[in-house]
Amino acid sequence: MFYRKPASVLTRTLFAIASVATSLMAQDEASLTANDIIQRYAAGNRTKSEMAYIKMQVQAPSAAPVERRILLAYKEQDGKESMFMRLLMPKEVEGVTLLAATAADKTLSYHFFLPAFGKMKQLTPEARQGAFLGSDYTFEDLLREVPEWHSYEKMKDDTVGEATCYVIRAKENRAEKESAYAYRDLYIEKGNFHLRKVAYYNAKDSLVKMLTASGYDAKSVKGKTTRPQEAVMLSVETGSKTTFTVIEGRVDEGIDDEYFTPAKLENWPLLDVEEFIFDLGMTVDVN
Amino acid sequence: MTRLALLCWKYWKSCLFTVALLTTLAVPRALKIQLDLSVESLYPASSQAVSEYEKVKQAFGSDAVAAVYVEDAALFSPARLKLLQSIHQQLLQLPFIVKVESLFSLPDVRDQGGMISTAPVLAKLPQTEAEAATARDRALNNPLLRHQLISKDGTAVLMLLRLSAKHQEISQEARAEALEKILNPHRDRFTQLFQVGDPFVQSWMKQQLATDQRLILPAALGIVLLLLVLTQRSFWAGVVPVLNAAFAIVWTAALMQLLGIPINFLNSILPALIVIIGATSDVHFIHEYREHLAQGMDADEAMKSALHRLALPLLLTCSTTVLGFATTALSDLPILRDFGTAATIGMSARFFISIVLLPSILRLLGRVIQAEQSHPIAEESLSGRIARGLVAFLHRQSKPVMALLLLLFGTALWQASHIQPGNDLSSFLRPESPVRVRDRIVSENLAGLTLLTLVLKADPGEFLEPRALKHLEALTTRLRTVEGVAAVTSFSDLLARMNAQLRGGDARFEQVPDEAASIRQMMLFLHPKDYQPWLSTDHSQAAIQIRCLSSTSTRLLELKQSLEKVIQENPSHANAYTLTGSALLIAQAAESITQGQVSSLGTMMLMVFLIVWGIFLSARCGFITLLVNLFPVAMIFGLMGASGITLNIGTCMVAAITLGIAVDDTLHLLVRFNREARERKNERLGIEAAIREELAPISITTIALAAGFGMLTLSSFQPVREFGLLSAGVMALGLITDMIVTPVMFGRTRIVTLWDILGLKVRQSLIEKSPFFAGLSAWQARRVILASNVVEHEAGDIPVKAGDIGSSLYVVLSGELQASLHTPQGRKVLKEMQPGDVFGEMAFVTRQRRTADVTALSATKLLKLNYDELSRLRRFSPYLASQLLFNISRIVCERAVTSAHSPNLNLGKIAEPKT
Repeated sequence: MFYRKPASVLTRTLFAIASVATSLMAQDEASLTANDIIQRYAAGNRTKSEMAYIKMQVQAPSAAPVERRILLAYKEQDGKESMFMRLLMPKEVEGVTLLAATAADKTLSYHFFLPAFGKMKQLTPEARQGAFLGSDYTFEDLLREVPEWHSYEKMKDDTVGEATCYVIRAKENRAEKESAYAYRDLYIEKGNFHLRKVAYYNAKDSLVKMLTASGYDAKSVKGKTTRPQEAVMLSVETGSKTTFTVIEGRVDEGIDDEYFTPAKLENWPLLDVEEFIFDLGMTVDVN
Repeated sequence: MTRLALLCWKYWKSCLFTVALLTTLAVPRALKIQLDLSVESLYPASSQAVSEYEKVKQAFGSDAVAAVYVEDAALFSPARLKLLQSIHQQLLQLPFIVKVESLFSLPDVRDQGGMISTAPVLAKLPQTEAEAATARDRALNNPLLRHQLISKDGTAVLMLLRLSAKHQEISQEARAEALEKILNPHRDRFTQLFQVGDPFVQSWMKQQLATDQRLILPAALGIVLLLLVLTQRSFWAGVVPVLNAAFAIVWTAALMQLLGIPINFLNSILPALIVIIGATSDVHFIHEYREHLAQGMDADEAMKSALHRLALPLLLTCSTTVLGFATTALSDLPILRDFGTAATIGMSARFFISIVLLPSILRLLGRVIQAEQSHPIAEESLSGRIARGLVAFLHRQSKPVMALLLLLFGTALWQASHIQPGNDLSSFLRPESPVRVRDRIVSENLAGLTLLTLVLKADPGEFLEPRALKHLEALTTRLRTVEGVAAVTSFSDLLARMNAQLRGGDARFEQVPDEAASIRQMMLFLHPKDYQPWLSTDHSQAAIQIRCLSSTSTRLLELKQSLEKVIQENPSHANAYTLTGSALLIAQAAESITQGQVSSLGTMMLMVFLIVWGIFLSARCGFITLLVNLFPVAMIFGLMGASGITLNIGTCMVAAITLGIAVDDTLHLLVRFNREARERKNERLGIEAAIREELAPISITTIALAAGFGMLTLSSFQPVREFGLLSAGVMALGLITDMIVTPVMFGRTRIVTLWDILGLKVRQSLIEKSPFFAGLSAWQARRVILASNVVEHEAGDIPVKAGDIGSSLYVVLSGELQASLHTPQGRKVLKEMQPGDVFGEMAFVTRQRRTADVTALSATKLLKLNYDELSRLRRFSPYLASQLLFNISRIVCERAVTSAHSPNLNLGKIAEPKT
């Protein structure tokens, strides 16, 4: 995926992933279990910091597409993860910001800043099932895969386009179910462990949404970690779809902590944001 | 028809085998017939309004929902909420449920201790009484939930079930059963726990249909069988019509299945109607057949004679009955169209079965269906006395009687103007039915399930603009004040709620914000599905959801007017608006019912008029027949207006159908009157005899029909009950008007049937040769002959005697006559007359003594016409009468001229005494 999910258990998980990653690499792919595959996929996503300038397009049936530009920043330091997403366009929503972080007590927190309403507001945890910026994604969909929270089952291999994929069924295994879905089928490409597709099912085994990811070979993201350039979430229920396209991305180039604070995000003029982007060497136009 | 029946009589075994085979083949198809109790059948399938409704459903979701209602004084306690959650989750598991909208699932944007929550009120199950109370207060604090999903006192909640358009293979009955399975184990834990909505309504209606069938059909069969056995004094004569009905029912069901016509609660009464109405023709036929047997004919002759005598009246009565049902199919409403089509098929099948099967069965049961020992009805019998007294009374008091009838007719029409159309499903059911009881409970505690949607249409994106939303908010607020409205929600409510919650829950901000940026930023919290009930995806249309207190069609239509007035008074950014909803479509279909009533009754009146006109060759006759039979219909309409019975899908059928049936008796009476009047050469005696002969059979069939229709009052459905009751009333009134109005109207009129004319054998040469028929076609000449009296004389008879005062002229139709004069020198032959010759024309004009004898030299037929008869003919056919007068004038003039030249040889001279 193209951005990070801050999660309280993520730090612990990352250690685990790192310790087994090397040994797993040597394993014969044919003998990989569902957990092995997920761990390889998770390991491939690790970064210390990440920046992306993203175009988000929401296409509802019988309506003109709505386009938004988002600046995404992610940082991981000492096991503490922070991420913000700031809307740059269109003008009416410019400055709207979502800040997600792993707090000191390792719990997940979301803050939302709506300039028209003045102050940054914290969202309750249940908000993870709500729509993300009015799109077909929920906050939950944007979370990075957390193996500890799920049990995995390897299904019959399938293809996505020309890519042959493992199909891994993920079910939440926590006592307090927080997911809106009964299970998800993750389509992970053999060989490179790129996530190609996710199918989301409800309790009646009905497909409710489908995510497809593509453009792993695009050059717009600079850094060692590969990211898809485009991710499309289709809502089966409404027929609407939301496309995230990474216009430019930077991985592991470092970002100051101050940007991940409510105080900074509440008072961050557009000109400063442009300068910030420019300093990162990205050449996007936010006007 | 006669040929077919005789063929079936002749090859009765093959006929029976064929009918049995066809019926056997039809049974499997008949058993596959579908059931349709959906509300869609109650409004026109295609119209601008329906098309708008479909578009609104597409954009804002369907208003057809089921729901689970839960009520308990201690509903908001952890234990009960846990149970509710369990029910909610089980409901979600059902394959035919797409979504359950409840306090467990609908997002509730709120400020929660400084944090913003979008989670449903009961996303986390309360663990303590205090938490439960907090959850209840939260729900009550949300205008989008209060009174919609939770009652104002917090003791009742509703779980709205959005039903899937897929899984049509799961019947509504199965759906209702699945819901019951979930609810049943928890019933004792709540004061009220039940389902409402389509699955329950349709499942319950299906059960009632089955119950009705078990009750009405046997009752109709029983009453018909009883009446027939008692009146025919033969068990088999009673069984045969029932047997025929059974075959017709199977055929009808199979044909309905073939044509894709489902069973609905209207056409479910068809089997009973087939039994009741179809029996009448069988009874007439069997009765006639047995009478002929009693006259000593063998079976073949009896069958031929019965057919000869009844073919015309049966064909006529069957045609009018089928037409009566067929006109119902002219309606826009699928339920009426289906009924009309199915009933037309059913009645046609029934009469076809009568034609082909009845002769075969009578042949089969030749030994058990014996001759009926009937005797001519004596003039001193009860029927005779009634007929004589009635005709005498009406002869004396015809004007007061007609004045009274006209007064009643006028009063009835005035009362009929008060009839209100009505079309709503709930009023079709008894007030104590569980469907209505449950609806009442839900409506009393919550906003109810009757939903109207007002859609305001503007340009794309318009309804994200503050000005447009402010107008929407004002309109929403104003609509809440309209009487009859239980709750109103719109997108402005959602925004106002979010605006206040994003500002710390400050109630002062519970309004649409003034700035576009605030609105756009709030929209980031919402997925299109979150605002789907209120706003289109391109933001060009805003829907205001209006829940109503009542679903009766009249009130809904009144409410619609009130709402439209408010809409027009309040400014909005809308270029156009639509007010729709399935309940409204059904209510508006009441107008279709009225239009359908006009078209079906109008068509039926026209058809009856044309048929009678065609058969009796008289527009006046058609008009009188129509009037006689419209009288009971008008009276019933008057009764409806006075008693508040609505014009609904049941009562709207009464007029056309009963007109088609009631006219049968009039036709039987007229055909009999035609025969009797001709035989007696006197209309008054003819009508007296016709009433005497027909009083009993018409009364019996009327009683049978009225009793049969009366059985429909056992139905669970109000329109069917009213249809049965009113139809029975029309039948009974029809008998009375037949016996009162017909004698008054026809007592001085000679009628002629098409069949009479076709059957009259008159030589063409006679018509061409006779000066009496000059200028008339053969057809017109036949009419004149039949409208007059034809007298027969044997050789030696003296139709005209010298010295007698006469007023009739004669036309020789057949035979030969001799005019002679008794002179002191003996009898002097003046002239011999051949067919076509005319005599007595001067007496016709001047009413003087005959001056010669006219003696029949051979068996003779004479047309006898006097001035009064010509005057009556003038009323019915002015052209014929004027032509005849012209011919008579010419004959008289020619006779006068001839008389001047050869007085002794002039027949006119003979006919007229010298003065």
